[in-house]
Parts: sequence; structure tokens; C-alpha cells
Amino acid sequence: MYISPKASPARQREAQLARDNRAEIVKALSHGQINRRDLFKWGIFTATGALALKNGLSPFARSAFAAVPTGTPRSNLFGQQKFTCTLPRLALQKPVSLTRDPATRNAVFPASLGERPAKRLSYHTDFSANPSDNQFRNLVSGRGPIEGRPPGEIFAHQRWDEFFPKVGYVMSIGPVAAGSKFHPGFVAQNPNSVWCYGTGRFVSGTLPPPLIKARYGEPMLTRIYNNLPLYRSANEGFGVNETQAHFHNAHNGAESDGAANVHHFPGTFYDYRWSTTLARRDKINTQATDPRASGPNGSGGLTNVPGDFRELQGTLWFHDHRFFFTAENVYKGNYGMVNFYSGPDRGNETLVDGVNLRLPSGSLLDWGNTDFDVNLIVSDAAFRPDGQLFFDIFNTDGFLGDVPLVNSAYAPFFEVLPRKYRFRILNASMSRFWKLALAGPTGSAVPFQFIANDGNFVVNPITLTTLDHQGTAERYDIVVDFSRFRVGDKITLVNQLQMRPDGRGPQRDLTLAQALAGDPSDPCIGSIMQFNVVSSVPSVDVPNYTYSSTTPDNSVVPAILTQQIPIVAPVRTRLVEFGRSGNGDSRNSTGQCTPDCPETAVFPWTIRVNGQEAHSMNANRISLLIPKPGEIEHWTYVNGGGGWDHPIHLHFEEGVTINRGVDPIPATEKFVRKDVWRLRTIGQRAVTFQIQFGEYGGSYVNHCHNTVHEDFALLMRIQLLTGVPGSPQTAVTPTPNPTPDGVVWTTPEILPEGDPRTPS
Amino acid sequence: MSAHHAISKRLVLGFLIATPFALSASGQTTSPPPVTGTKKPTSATPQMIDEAIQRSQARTVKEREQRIPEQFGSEEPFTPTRN
Repeated sequence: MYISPKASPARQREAQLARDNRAEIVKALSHGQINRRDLFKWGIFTATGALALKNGLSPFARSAFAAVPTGTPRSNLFGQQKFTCTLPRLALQKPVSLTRDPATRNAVFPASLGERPAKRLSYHTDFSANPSDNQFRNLVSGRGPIEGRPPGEIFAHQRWDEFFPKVGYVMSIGPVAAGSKFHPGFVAQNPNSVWCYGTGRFVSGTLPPPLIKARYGEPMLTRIYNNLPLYRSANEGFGVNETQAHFHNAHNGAESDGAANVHHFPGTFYDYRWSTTLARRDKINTQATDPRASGPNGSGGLTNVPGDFRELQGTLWFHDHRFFFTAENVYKGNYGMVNFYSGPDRGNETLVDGVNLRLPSGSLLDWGNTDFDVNLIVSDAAFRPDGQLFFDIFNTDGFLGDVPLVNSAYAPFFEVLPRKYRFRILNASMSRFWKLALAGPTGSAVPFQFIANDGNFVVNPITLTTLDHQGTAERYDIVVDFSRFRVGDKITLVNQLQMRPDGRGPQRDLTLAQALAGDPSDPCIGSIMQFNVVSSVPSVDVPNYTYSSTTPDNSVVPAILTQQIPIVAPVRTRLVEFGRSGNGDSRNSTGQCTPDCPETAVFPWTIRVNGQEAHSMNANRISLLIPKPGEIEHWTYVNGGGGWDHPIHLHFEEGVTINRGVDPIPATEKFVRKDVWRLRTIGQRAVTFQIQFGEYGGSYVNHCHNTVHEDFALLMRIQLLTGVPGSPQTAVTPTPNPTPDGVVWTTPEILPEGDPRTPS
Repeated sequence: MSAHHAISKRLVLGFLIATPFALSASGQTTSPPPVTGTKKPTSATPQMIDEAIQRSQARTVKEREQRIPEQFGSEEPFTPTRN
């Protein structure tokens, strides 16, 4: 889609003009000067919501100057080259201790923060009881409650006393701070070009994204303020000022999953209780006697927790999940990472106790060392000619950027010692799949060990020279041993995957040599980051401490990392097809769309369950219902076909991947726990996995994590009746509908084919 | 548990579930009747899965051959091959 910088000036102008025209339409839409109905009337949108192939508008329309598509102009890099800025380490957040008020059961922040206590029930409950009381009212807008979490018991924090938050974080999502850049040589971003997290309440957002180090046995309360502009049009062309923060696959109650149609508005906050619950705690190791199910206690020991150690999680992230605007908001910067630390995955490479795996990390801290355990967030971006972040919302197939970013920096370099490192690689792109490999100084492939998929250990490390395709939201943990290199050597991280220009999915795997040669039509192919082997590096864990190349590497990669969860006969099987069946109508039986209707056209994506009628997303429709906790099911996902790849994400629980239909299953997936599965167009178009639900309940979702597809309704609500006995989450919960004045409730419809309580 | 306690618990639970309706900001609730009772398969059969995969394959072949993106309804009718 991106045209070569060597193309004629006329073609460059043509492509820029088309993109400017698209941007003008986006701006007019966001300012309310036109609506989607106008666009259909003018023939700009097709019936499926895609941009019509019009010259001067669509990048896929034939160019006036050549028999090729118009294309899109390359981003302005201001003359900067790759590997000229250092890798920013993620912004580590420091927790504050919370204390329990025995009278109120509230979690009290330190007085110095000036924060109101965190409560089991939302402050929306207080507002609803007394809307005129200013202490519960959003004083920025002058309307509605101060907290976005819906009122009453259904959105009370589940199991509050059992998982009472011990530490707290106060963060704000807001316009980026002045002077923030994606490379020192780029221009600074305008405040509303990037919306990201800052530490504290009255703060701007900052780059790089945040990192939270969490440990089992230490529940967290994360208070997120919405400091975004009050007016929706103040968005530099894309992004919506409403947010719900999804903690991607942490084991939390629906009220803290951030995807229950609970977005909140500027001036409000939302208290998420991130519980660090280990799955199966109500079923396995209930007395917490297994030391492998544990978290570090901070003084060399462990705090045991109930649950199944085989379900320990490690590399996680959180991101915006505002239905139908997720791609714009995440792309704009609304995300961060969370590392979960446990007895086996301690983040300490020297401590020997028979439980700790001693993976590369460091040892200056008791747990959570990150000197040799590095988070890498890989994404792709595009910039306007003036250097501001640009997003093209017109393509419902997918959005591809032409600037590779790692931790929000353009193709950075990272200095490493000649020893082992662990890298936690997250694909935070909107639509781009990556296939990453390492190239040594001579261009030959560098072997590495694959240890975890979506934050779940594989049973045995797998030696690879290239990763599998990595879809949006997938996390791959690898260990690279740089001891085979000499000081001065440079190793590059290489993307070997050619995408379809329309963003629908991968097109072709390239050899390492082909990838290193680059592709003029896609600058994200080839090297995207460089590792420079050096003789000393400063510690990030303990300031003023410096490691040298002679510092012993005490880390190991054990032959066994975890144990296999057996595959058993299921209670039931389910089939879910993601594609374009049916008519794409998102309305329910009474004509409602929740949260938003397409104004004229239908949504282009649908999901169907057990071969029945297809539906687009409606948050007030339950497509799958889980009747009770602990039942083991086998689910099969199938790509509906037609040429699109879909990375499908299931919230809340991980599934054990069983097979890929009739196609071979990669070693990195076979019997491995995952929460995102790629459904390919050819080969691996299906996946079957084993799943069970427990500990919490409520409303969650299941969706394509190509967020452009997701925003055009390729998601569905799943309802878990798996709350603890006596809780509201043992029954179907009503649907919250956020408004600036507070939440309004509706009663969801339930698809009979998704409800096993329905006699078939 | 005494009968009185059990009834009280049910009442409290009923109240808790109903509370959000009473607390809604505008006092509005809309309540379309849940769609229940229609007989549809709530469990997938191997044949159903096989048919879905065949349908997926057929659509992809069509897209590759005709270079036309999948449109709503264009996949129908589809006749799977029975094994």
C-alpha cells in the first residue's frame, strides 16, 4: 500500500492528496459536520462500510499516473535512520500500599496522594443515591457520576475480602506530555495526537508505555482517570475520549475485565481490582499447599496461593477496549504491560529453592528483576507529513503502518552483554502480523529458545531460528544467548512477513536474506531493532550499578518449565465461525444496537455459533453462555473464509490448544495454553481447544484482535454464570449502557444455540 | 440453615440483582424478552465442524480465483461433501 519514495513527484502528490481527502472526511465526521449516512449517499462508502474505490480518495483505486494502485505516501521520518535511538524501557510504575479500614472495608490510599478510598461498590452507587452531592459527581463535565464503574452489586468487586487489594496504582489516560517523540529526531507530538498513560491524577500521558510488576498473592487496585478532552472533536482526527481498560486475560471479575460495555467519560475514574487470582483456586490446591502455586514474598520466600500452578501467567498487557473504537484508541497509545511473577517465574536468576526456574532476569532485587528480562512492544505506525501520528479509519480490512516501533521508539537499538536475555515480545499492532527472527553479524539466523506463549510456559523450551506468525495481542517469550557473540557485534531483530497490502493478513513468508534486503513497499519488513553487544551496561533495577561482560551469568533455561494439563472428554463442544455470513445486522430482536449502530450500512463482520444465524456485535446479546463453573468444554473456532486472517481472543480464561483441524499444529501451540489463536486463510483455518471457566463470572467478550475487524463488530458477548454461590454472577447480568449522566440498564437477549440450558 | 434464613437470603439476593435497575441514572430500563425456548443445537457435532471448515475453504478458493472480497450472503447456498 505504501508507495516507494522513489515514485514520481506526481504519484507522491496524488497519494498524499487522497490521504488528505480521507483525513478531511474523518475530521468532518468527528466534528459532526457530516455523518456516515452522507458518506453512503455520496457513494464514498460501500454497502459493507468499506471505502469505495474512487480515485483521489482510495489508496486502492488505480493511479492516474500508472497501472498500479494510488497507494499511500510514506511517513515523514525527518531524515532519521534505523538504530539511531536507544530502546526505551517501559515506564515502571511504583505501587503504593493500601490499608484496610475495618469499619467500611474500604482500601485506603496513603494520605499524601489525596485519593478517596477504593470501595467494593462503585461511587456511581453513591451518585445514584444522591445525584446532587458534588463529591460523587463528575465536576469536569458537570454531569453524571465520578466513577465509571456501574452502580450496585452486579459491578461490585467480586470476592472483595478474599482478594482485598494490598497495593494500588493511580494512573491517568490523557493527552501526551509536551516534547514527546517517537525518535529524538522526529517532531514532538501534539497533545491530542497521542493519548497515553501517566502516573498520578493530574498528569499528562508519557512515552514509553507503562509496566506494572505484579505478583501472585498481592491483589492490586488500579485507579484510572480519564483526562481526555471533554470535546470529542479534540482528537487530531481519530480516537474517542471514552475508555474502558481491559486487562488482557488476567483472571478477574467481569467488573474489572474492562470489556463489559463500561466505558467511562472525561473527568471520571474507574477502579479496577486486578486480583492476581490463580485459576482453578476453587478446585485444585484449594489449601495452598503446593509451593509452585505462589508469589514471591519479597524476602527470598514464597506466599502460597490456592490454584493450579500449571495455569500461572507471566507476560500480560492491558489496553483500551471501548467497543467500536478500540483500534483508534489503542493505536493512539492506550496500553501498557503487566508482568506476573510467581514462585517458578520469580524474576530472580540466582535464588535456588527448588521452585524458582532461574530464568534470565537479574538478581539485584528479590523478585521482578528486569535487567536481563526485557519487555518489547512491537507495533507499526504512520505519520502525517507534519510528523503527527496518523490513523486511516477507512479500511475495514486492516490498518498497516510504515514505521516499525519498539516500545514506542522508531527501530531502536539496545545494548546487551554477551549473556542470556529473556524478551517478552508483544504484538501491539492494529492489524499487522509479524514473523520475527534474529540475524547475526553475517546475516545468518541466530537460534533462540521459545519458553512461553501468551504468557503461558510451554512444557519444554523449544529451540527455533524464527518465530511463528505473531498476531495482534499475542505474546511470545524467548531467551536469546548472546554469549556466542563478541563485544562489538550487532544482531538485528528481523521481520520476515510480507502482509497483504490491504491489511487482510499475511501474504508470504520471506527468507531471512529476502527480509534483510527490505521491501520498498513495506518498510516494516526487514530489520526493526538492533542488539549491540557491549562490555558493560547500567542496571535498570538498581541505579548506579553497572554490569560488565565478565559478570557471571547465573541464569538457566530448565528442560522442564511446567506440566501438561491433560486433555479430557468434554461436557460439550461448541463451534464458532468468524466471518461474513448472514446480513451483518447488529440489531437485536427489538431493533437495539449496543453500544452503537452503523448509521446506514451493516457491519461487515459476523459471528455464528453452532452453525446457526450469524450476528454482528451487540453488547446486549449473549452469544455464548457458560452455565456453571468447572465444566470442561472443547471449542472449535473456524475462519469463515473469504481471504481474511483473524487473530481470535477469548477473554478471562486460557484454552489448551488441541489441534488445528486437519492441518499441522506448530510445536509452539501444541497442547499449549493460549488466549489468542490465529485463524488463517489457508492452513490452520481452524483451531480446537479445551477450556473451563471458574472463580468469577459476569459479562465478557470473545473477538477478533485485528482491532479494525473488532471495531466493525467482529466480537460477541459471552456470559459466565460462574460466580461464587450467592453472587449476582450466578445469573445473567443486565447490560450496562454508559451515558454521560450515568449508566442505564437493559436486559440482554440470549441466543438459544449458545445457551446449554436451552433444551436442544 | 433455617427456612427463615433461606428465604431471607433469597430476598436479599433478589434485591441485590434488582438494585441496579432501581439505581439507573435516568430510571430507564428496556427489557426485550429474552429469546429462549427455540430449539437449536447447543453443542457442536463433528459434522457441523467439518462443514464449517469446508465452507471456509470454498469461500477462500472463490476469493482467490475471482479476486472478489466475500460479501454477505454470497457464500450461500453451500453444499458440503459428506464423508
